[in-house]
Amino acid sequence: MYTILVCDDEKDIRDALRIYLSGEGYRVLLAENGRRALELLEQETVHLVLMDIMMPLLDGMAATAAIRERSNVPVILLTAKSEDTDKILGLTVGADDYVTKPFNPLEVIARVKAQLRRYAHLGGMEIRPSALAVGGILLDDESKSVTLDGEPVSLTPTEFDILRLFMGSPGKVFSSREIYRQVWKEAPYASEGTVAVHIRHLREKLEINPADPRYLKVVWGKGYKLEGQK
Amino acid sequence: MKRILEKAWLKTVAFLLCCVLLACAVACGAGAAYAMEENWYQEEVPFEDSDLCYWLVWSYLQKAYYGGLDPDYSGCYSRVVLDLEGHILEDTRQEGSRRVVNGATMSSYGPDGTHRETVTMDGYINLPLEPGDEAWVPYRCYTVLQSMTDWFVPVGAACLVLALALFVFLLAAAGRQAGGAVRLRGLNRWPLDLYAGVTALLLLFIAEISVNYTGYEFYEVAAVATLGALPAAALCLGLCVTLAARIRAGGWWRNTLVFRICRILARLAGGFFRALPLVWKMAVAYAGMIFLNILFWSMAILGNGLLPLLLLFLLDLAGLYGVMRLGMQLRSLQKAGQALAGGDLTYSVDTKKLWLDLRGHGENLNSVGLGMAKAVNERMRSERFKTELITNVSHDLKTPLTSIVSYVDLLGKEELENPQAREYVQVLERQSARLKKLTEDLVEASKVSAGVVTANLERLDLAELLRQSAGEYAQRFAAAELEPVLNLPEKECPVQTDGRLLWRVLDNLLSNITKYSQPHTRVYMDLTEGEKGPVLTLKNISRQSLNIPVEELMERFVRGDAARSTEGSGLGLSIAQSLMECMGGKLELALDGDLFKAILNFPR
Repeated sequence: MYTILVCDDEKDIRDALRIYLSGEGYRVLLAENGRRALELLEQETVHLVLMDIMMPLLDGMAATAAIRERSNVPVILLTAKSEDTDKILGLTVGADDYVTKPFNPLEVIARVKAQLRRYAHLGGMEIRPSALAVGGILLDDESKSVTLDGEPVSLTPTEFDILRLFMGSPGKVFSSREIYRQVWKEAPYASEGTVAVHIRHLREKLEINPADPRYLKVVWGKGYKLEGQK
Repeated sequence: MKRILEKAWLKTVAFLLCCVLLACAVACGAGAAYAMEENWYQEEVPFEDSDLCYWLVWSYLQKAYYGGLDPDYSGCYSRVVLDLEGHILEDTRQEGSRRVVNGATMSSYGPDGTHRETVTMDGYINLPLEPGDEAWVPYRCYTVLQSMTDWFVPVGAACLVLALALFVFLLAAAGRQAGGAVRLRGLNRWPLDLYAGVTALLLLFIAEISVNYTGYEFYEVAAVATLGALPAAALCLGLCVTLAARIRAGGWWRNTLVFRICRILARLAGGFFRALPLVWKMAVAYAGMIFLNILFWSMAILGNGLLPLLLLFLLDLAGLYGVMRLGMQLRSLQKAGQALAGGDLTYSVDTKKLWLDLRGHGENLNSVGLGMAKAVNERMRSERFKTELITNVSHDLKTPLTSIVSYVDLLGKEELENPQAREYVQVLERQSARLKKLTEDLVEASKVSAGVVTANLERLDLAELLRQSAGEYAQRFAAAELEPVLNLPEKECPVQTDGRLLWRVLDNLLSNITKYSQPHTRVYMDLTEGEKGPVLTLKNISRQSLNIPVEELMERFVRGDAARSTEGSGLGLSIAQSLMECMGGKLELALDGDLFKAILNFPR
């Protein structure tokens, strides 16, 4: 059984999260501020931390930074700030993921599960030479299989090819034309629009929240890229 | 020591004592000179052999001959009158008479100027002299003075040394006040030249009196000098002391009439010069130079000396210096102007080094910089304040909303027996979702209209962005039973814009289209080259007839459906428009029957 530490200054939100998470069978610890969270982390074995950013005494950013100094337990930030700069700062400080408030409880649970799977399984998994790994995505070219955080994902052959292209060079921006040329092996003729549709589908399969993707990002007006997190 | 220098009464005493000592010294000097004159240092000279006695007897003889003497005079003087042949005409000698004047020749003339007679007179003094005699007082003085002969030099020297010491003390103490402050009071406040003038006048006056009252005899001069020495010493000493005090207080030349008058004149001239307009100032300065030039040249030609040439050289040097200084000042102003234009609002010119109008100009530049810096600071503060306010409000709105959404969701999962209760929960779910959307849009709209959102302009392909957007919306179009039609140019359509912001604009517009379009119609997305830049037109057929003017659609909280039943905040178009403006573009709406057009204009 996994232990999850929920840290938020709002009691109702803490309780709601406790209800959802214990419903999923997790043991839940509650903390009302960053300092208390750090104390609990000292005392208990915690497998994942859900951390609010705006809190008294010690805010989520500082607490996350403090956690990172001693442990690599996954941290998911709960933030009312939807500014990109805040997200980037959170990830830089050492958070593994973030959810913006007001959040969809199902999304939180999905992200918690994904992080726990990665934290628990990925370390022990051996990567075959034919396999490509970016973040929690693992693509095996031989068996034509893709797993996300250890869970198998079923992709159509086109989606698989597109993903393989991205995973071959993570971080590189591919334009629709380029993707079309590489995947369809044809000269693009006003049909690159279909690429966008395929990528949208691919994102729906790989991302917990396709509108706010973690891996497969849209570079507006330029193309798409696969962003690999550590 | 300091204390002593600050005691006023001590200084007064020292001053008076110094005057007296100086007078004493003069008196002693006079005495010594007199003694030398009278030969006292060689031998003891009895009264009857002295010049004094001679003079006294001589005046007696004159009186006796020319009249004015009582015929029955029987004093301490006596005479023997002889005619030219040596016959005794008169003899008033007594026992003990000593001859003092020998053979004084007296002549008398008639009223017409003819010679009447000439006699020789011998003058005698009747010894011993007794109190009451005419010559008693001079005699006593003479004997006393003579008895003091050996004291004149040492006493005089001592007086002089003491006076000098006091003088040094007075100079050291001049101007010092109790408490160590140097302050000028009383006479020290008089203008120095006035003081000196008054002193000189008084000295002249004393000299005049002395000259009037003195005779030709040496002892008379000595006596008058002794008497005049006291006030003269006081005056000179006072001048020295006040000078010392003024020098100690600093700026002694300031408190002079000459300085004041010069200053007033200079101020008048300066004020007149300053009041002149800049052009006139330059003209006057240049005219002055030319005048001096002509003056010196004519001096050089007429007087052919070296001085005018030297003056000419100095004048040219001064002109060069002035022009260079002026150039340097203009340069510093130029630099300040450049700095201001370059956005460095903290730059300030050192106006102390600038002249006249340039200084005013420099000060203006500085205040422009200050004013602008202030305005910029204020602006930045209010921007920051706005940003913080929005962040905080957004946080405060979202926190309760998160609870509501979560607990409504939890409530929906509970086993509710009453079917009505389940219906209510569904309403709650729907409305909290709407509230969520509304809050997000509201925060977004505030951010955009407060100018907190800044566009990160970069070059990107509008056609690609449109394809991506269409791809993102493919499913939702399908769900709304709409058929998207993209009319894109063959080539790339580069444009300077912010991809993420533009996606938010398109997201808002496309989401409106999926919400309000008539099913089974086509949605056109046309990208064309307009006159000013690329133009993107989104066209769709509205499900309901839009009976509100197009302009109003852009306003906040105005929605196409009067009933406001469908999902939406009424902020989408307003946000889209603000974002387009933020990126330098423009969003226009057009309505032709049921055909709704959103036209996005991009700058090239």
